[in-house]
Amino acid sequence: MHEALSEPRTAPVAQRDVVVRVRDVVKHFMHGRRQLCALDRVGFELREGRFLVIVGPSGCGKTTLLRILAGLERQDSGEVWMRPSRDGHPPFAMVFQEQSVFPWMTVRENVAYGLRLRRVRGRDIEERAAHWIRKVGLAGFERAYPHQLSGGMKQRVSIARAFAVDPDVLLMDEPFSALDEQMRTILQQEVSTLCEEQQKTVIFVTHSIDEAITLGDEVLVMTHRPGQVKRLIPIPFPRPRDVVEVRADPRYGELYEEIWGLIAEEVRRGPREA
Amino acid sequence: MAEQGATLERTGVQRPRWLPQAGAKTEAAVQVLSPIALLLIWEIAARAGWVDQRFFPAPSAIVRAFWDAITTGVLLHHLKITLWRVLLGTLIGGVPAVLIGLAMGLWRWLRLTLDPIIAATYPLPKSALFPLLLLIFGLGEGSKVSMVAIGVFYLAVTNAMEGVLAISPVYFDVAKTFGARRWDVIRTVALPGAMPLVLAGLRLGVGTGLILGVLAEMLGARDGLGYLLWSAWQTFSVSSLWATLFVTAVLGFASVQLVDFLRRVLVPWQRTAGRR
Repeated sequence: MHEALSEPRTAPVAQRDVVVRVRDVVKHFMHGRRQLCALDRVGFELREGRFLVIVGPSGCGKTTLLRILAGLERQDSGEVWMRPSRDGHPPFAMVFQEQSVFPWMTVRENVAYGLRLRRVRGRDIEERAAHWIRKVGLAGFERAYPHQLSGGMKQRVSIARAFAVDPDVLLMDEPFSALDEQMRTILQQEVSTLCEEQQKTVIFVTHSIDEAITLGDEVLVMTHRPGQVKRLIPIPFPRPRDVVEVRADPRYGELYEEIWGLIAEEVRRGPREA
Repeated sequence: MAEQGATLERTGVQRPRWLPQAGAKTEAAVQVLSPIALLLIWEIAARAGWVDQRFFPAPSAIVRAFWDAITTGVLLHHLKITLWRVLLGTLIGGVPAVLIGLAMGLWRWLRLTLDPIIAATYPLPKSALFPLLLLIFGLGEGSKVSMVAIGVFYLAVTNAMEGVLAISPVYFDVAKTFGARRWDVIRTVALPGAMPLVLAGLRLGVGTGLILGVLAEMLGARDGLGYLLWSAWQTFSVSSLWATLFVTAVLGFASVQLVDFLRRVLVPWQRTAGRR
């Protein structure tokens, strides 16, 4: 009786502004003849405007999870739901880990790519591409080809390309892992500010605990293979944030220690194979 | 601080500019002077009788023969014919090759079907096909043009296929996450991504096509540069043999330059990357 009463009352409240829901997602891979379990009943919910960072040891399936969310791979079982966009286009945009800026397109063409696929009006494409190029600090490089840009600038193009389609959800797969530390810190600050300003819901995958704490509202720590949710840790720092100041906060050290403890446990244990 | 930055910048700019420039000048000079020196030695050797003039006539004699062949219009007449055959063969062989190659790169089942056939026939020396082509097309244009086409086809088809397969999968992923449909993916990723290798294949193909075309002209034609070379040998007019050889080399060089020009137009995003 009590159960029946509380269920309908809490459920709508919890679901009101949920943008992403993942429930019991299972994914296997064939490695030669052996079947490996990459994800084992992973689940979480993400409310609008929240910044979720997924961390875990290498090979824990965090990138696989993101690829399933992006529709690039299919889960074997379980449910993945993302609130559909009003215009029928994908409600998300993804920023990739590697070199993902098209070498055969100029900066402007790259940033306009998603808009062109959406058959946006020509004038609007120009305007929005120019806006986002300025926003990521690439004004003056509109006609440059990617081979003329540094690694940091290329990743800026990639970020602008994702923001330009104005997605509800941003999926980021270790976007800064190939950059040097200074450039990483600068881009962390810019992405943090942009996401805050644009009210984006973000799922950000990284192996860097530091990055997880400085950027996230919540940090989801995953276990070693088969990937499961080990713990969901709320990050108390308010937004907007200064990614350098956050590191000086005494709570930063505590959080780092806590998350490192969880991950170290997993790394030492190694993958558990069935 | 600013002072230091300025000096650093200055030396940083000066060094690479100053050093290779002197090197580049010397290199260019050597590149021009060495062929001239060779011709000079050749001329002296021929006149002094150190080399057999019957096989290696003096460069001045070759130039004279070249001039005669030009002024009588013989050389240009045959050059035009060969040029036409190579051009036609390149189009007939190259266009379908690029389309089939791209399709093979895009669709696995097509690749699985056609790849064994191409792989099995590729090692066959194309020149060995000429008698068969003569049988099919006769002594007319068909046998020569098809020879060129076959030479272009194989290199163009394999490179076009590899061009698609060599594209990093992440670019296809990017297209998909932005909601690209099948044709969008082909148009915005597969075609531009494959372009560098498509053109590399055409470049090699045109070279091979020219070889096979000239060979076919030697064996079964009454005109063209290959025919001219062969008849020069038969009439033992060595100077005109050398002159024709020179024109054939220029044709080869020019056709590669043409494809390179095409590459600069179609693949502007690789221009500076490839040149520096």
